[in-house]
Amino acid sequence: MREQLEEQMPKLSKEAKPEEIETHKKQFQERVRAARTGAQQGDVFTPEASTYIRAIIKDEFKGKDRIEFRDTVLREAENKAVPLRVNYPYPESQELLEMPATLLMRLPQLPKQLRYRFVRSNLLLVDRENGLIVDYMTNALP
Amino acid sequence: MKRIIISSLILTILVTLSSVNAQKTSSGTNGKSAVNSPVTLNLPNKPDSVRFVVIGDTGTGTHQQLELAQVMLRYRQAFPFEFVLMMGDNMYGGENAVDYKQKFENIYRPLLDQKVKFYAALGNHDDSNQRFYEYFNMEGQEYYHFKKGNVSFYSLNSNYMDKKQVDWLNEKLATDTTAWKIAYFHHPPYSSGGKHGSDSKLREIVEPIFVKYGVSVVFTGHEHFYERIKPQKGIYYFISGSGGKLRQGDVKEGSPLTEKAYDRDMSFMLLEINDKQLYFQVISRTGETVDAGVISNPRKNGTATS
Repeated sequence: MREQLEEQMPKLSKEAKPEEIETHKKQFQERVRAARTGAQQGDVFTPEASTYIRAIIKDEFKGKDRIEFRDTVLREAENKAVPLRVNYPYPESQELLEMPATLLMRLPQLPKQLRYRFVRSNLLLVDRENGLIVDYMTNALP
Repeated sequence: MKRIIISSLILTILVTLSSVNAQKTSSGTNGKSAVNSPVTLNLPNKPDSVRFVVIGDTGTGTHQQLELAQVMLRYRQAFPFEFVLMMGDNMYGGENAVDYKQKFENIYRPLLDQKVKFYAALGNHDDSNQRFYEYFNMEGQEYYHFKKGNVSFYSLNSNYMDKKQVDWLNEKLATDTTAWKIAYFHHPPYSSGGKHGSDSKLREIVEPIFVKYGVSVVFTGHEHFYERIKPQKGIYYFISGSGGKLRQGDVKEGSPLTEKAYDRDMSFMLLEINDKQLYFQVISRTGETVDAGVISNPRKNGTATS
């Protein structure tokens, strides 16, 4: 569905003007939001998937790594104001916290349009093209 | 290994000599203006060299960012650099059309008018859609590669170093026979910053690739200061993250990683590469040279001299 909507939109050129980038993102957001009305938390992060992912994260961050990562996400990160709402945009003014590279090597691979992102103790799925929060799982931090 | 050690020694000696003058003239930033400060060039400035600038963490749209851009412009009159590498955090806060203008176009307009090209990397404050922006020359990609003369540049997205990107990097480097291979991205694998510090998780993934394929220089940002790291595994790491923000006094004193650091004012780097040498000079917002030196390519076959 998402790909169909994107294909129906004019493609951004590799030399786009700021106005074109802004318009494209907003229109893409509106179309996907309208098409996904009724989307709910857990549609992607099913209980089984969440359990599997939590186990990977827990195994990746142990001891000092765990303490440092929690400190980064819970204290330093400048994204604490991101509201957890499926099918709403991740605010542009909020930091997109770096995903630890070693963790990304272990998590299930995603289509290129989707990104994992930590916000507080939650793990989000965010669409990199339109900025919409696709889903999120709670208590993801080890 | 012997060549690496010799190169490091040469660099240390040359930098010590060249930075004496900077240390003598450096007297802090209070009350100093860049407008009339002299342009002092410590680079060979040869027309057949690859000449460029490195800036990072620029996107504030503040008067300070503008002042630094004006110093860059003045230096370009003496040192006609062709392009600018951006280390990410190209836009803090909102990213509407007006933000692109206030935080980038208006600041660097004179350079854009002189056909200076900017090649951006993405930081943790950057929307992925910046990759389509006409002036960032990213070809619609979050990570990309380009060549200038005998130099290969790899712009990486350290904010999301996933398997796809790692595979791409491995494949590109495996067939790259260029004399100089340079990577740049936002998060520093090594840093003496008090707020962030070294990104060890990123380092664990990318450093073995750099070592394997002969990447000899890495530029990053994220930390809002300048730091030249002591060579690590034969690689020279630079942090240039005070193009629009400054985290004054954030470099840990006595850090074993630091070869040279500057966290008293904003700065940018001037660079010049010829066949075997990379020359660098770091300029503060007040126009002072705060670091300078030369690196002999430790990865290039043949004798490395300076």
